[in-house]
Amino acid sequence: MDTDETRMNEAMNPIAENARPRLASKARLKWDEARKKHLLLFPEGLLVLNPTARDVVALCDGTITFAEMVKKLGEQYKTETVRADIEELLSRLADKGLVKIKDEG
Amino acid sequence: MPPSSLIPHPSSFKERPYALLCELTYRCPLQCPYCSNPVDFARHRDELRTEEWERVLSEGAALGVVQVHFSGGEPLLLPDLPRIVRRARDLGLYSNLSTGGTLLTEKMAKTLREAGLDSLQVSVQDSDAENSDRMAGGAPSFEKKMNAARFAREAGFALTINVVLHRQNLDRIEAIIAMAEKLGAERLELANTQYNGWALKNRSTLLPSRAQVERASSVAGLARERLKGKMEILYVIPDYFEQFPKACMQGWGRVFMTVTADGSVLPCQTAREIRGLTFENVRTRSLEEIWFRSETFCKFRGTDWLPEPCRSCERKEMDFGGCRCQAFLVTGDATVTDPVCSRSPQRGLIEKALEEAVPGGVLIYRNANESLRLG
Repeated sequence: MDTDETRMNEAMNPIAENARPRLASKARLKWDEARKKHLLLFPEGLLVLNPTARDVVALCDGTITFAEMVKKLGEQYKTETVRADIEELLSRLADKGLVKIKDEG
Repeated sequence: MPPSSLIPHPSSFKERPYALLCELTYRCPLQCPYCSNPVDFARHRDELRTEEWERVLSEGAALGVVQVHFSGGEPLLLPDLPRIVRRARDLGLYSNLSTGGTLLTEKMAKTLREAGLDSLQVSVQDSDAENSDRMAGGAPSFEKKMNAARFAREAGFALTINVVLHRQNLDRIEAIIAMAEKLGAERLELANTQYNGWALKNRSTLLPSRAQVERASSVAGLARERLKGKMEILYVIPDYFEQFPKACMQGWGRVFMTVTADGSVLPCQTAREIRGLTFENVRTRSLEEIWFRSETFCKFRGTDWLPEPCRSCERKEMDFGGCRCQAFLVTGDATVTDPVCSRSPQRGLIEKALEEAVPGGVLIYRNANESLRLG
C-alpha cells in the first residue's frame, strides 16, 4: 500500500500545449466521506489530493488540452504559479502511470 | 458467548483502515512453497458464505475502507466471486483481484470487468516455463497463466504481474521483466520472498546470496527508469539484506486489515502464525468493534508498546519496530525488535540463516497434507 507522496521530485518533461491528459483506466477519483478527503485510488496505493490537485485530475478526461486547463484553473485560482503547478502535478502522475499525457493507451 | 478479548473502552486512536484484504478461500490448485497463507491453513475449513462476505464489505466501507483486495488461496474457486465484486463496486470500493491465473477464462475476465473489478493481478512463478511449473507444484500452470494475462488485458484490465523472487529465479530477473513487458503489464511486482510461514519452512533453499540480490537490484533499478510511465516496477530489497526493518503493514493495525476465509480478522495475513494471539471473527463481531477494540489489534498499535532498542530509536516512527510475525517466528517472542534490524541483539539469528542458505535442497510444497503434518 503506497501512500508516499514525497518520492516524486524527479526531472520532468515539459507538457505540450495541445496535449490532452487523460486519467489512466486503473486510476479512480474518490471522495472519501469517512475522512472528508479527495483520494486518487490505483492498484496497491492511493494519493490524498488537496482540492486544487483534485480539480486538475478531474479535468483529465482526454478532451481538454493542457492550455485550456491552465486557462480555466488560472481564472479559478488566480495564482502566478498555476501553470508550473499543474505541469508538475501532471508530470508526477504520468511518471506513476496514473495520467496519460501522450495517447498511449 | 465468544471469548471476549475486546478492550472495554475505545482508546484515543481515531485512524481508520484504508485497505481490506479478503482471503476468500484457503483452497488453491497451486502449491507454491512460499505461500503467505498460514502453515495450518487446512485446519480452517469453515469458509464464509457469499452473504457474509457482502456484509463484511459493507462494514468495511462504513469503517473507512476505500480499497479491497480479493485473494486466497485461489479466489476464482468461488462461483459467487462476480457477485462479491459487484457489491464492492456498489459500495464505491476500489477492487483488486490476485489470482494464480489457472482458472481465469476469457468469459470470466469479461464478467469480472462488467461486475466492476478495477484491477487484476496474475502471479507467475518464473519466466522459465519449466521452473514456473516446478515452483507452482501440481499440474502444469505456466501456459494457463500466460493466457490469463492475455484475457485480463483483452477484457480491459490494467494488468499487474506478480513474481515472488528467491534463489532459484533471481538470476533470471531480466527475462522476468521482459516477460511482463510482453504481456502488456502496467505494473510488475518483483516481490522478494518474505520468510514467514511456508517460506520459513523452505528458507535455506529459497534464500538468495547477497551477490544475487545486489545484481537484481541494479537490473530492476535500470528497468524502472527505462519503463517509467509505461510499466511500474516494484522491487524492494529483501529485509534480511537490509540494515533496518520495514514498516510492516505501515504499522500494526494502522491502515490495513485482513479477513480470512473462515472470518478471522487479522492485522496482517500472516499474523495467525503468532501463537498466543486471539483473533475476533466477523461472525460474532463487527469490523468496527474489532478495528478499534480488539485486544490483538491494539496490542502492537503505535509506538507505546515498543521495547528497547526501539523505544529510544530515532527510526521508531518510520518502522514501528518492524514485523511482528518475523520477530515471533525467528526469536519465539512477538514483543521484541524485528531481528533483521542491525540494532537488534538477535540479528545474529538472521546472519546464521544467511550462512546456512544452500543451493539445491528439497522444497516443502504448500498443500493440505503438508499443512496437516506441519500445522
